[in-house]
Amino acid sequence: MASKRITKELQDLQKDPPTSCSAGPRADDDIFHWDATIIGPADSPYQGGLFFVAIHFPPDYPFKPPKVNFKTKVYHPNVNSQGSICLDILKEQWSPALTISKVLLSICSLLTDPNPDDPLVPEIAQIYKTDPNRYAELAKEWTRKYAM
Amino acid sequence: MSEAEIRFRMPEGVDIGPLNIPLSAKVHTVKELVVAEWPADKVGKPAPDDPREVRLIHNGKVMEPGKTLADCKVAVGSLVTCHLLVQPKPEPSKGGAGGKEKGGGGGGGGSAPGCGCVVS
Repeated sequence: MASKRITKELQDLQKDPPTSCSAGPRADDDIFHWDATIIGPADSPYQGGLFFVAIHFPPDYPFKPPKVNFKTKVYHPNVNSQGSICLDILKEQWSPALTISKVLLSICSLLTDPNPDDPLVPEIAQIYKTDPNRYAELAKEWTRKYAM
Repeated sequence: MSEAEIRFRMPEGVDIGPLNIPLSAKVHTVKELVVAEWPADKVGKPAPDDPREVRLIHNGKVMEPGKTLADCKVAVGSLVTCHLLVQPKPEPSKGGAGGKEKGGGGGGGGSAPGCGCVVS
């Protein structure tokens, strides 16, 4: 069940992917581990960056959400230094109707619109709330340093 | 002999192609082709001066310049969409390029067109 569904998602992605996201299996013989890239959204301090992401599908996908982690360092209130992402649809809001394509698009939206009220890195959330210009500056700097 | 039909999708929402390209073509050649086909009016900015500033992405991985399309697992025949990102070389005024970590991708800087680091 899981592998059939993942194969279908892969076919759809290869044919007509979102403009900002690319994804596919890391190796031919393992459809459960994928690499993905996210292009930093134009209307965000991550613009121009290329962010690498690792995806791990559980054996009972799509009934359980995929595990998604940034491999590139990102300065963001909802992404910690391990690359973990705090996003509701990757946890309690997951639905089997979602796809990896939609998950990646949600991560793009999260880059544009951080959610400082449910932060993974409280210090960054604090800066985002109190000094947005400083936040944008630091996010740009990290993007230049790690994602270009 | 064996070709793939490839469409190049840019963050601006513009597609180049689809173009029919032999699977034996090297990625750096494909970059030159893309720059030649650049739809400047649609993208709203001119093609990069140096094709090496173009990064092509397929299957969640950066396509390394020295590899062929077949190496990058582009399949024969069916329409494949690659992503295209232009990353200009960092400005030389910035002295401290030392902080670059694994996973940040390479290829953008310096004079080494063959470098492109893919996280595994």
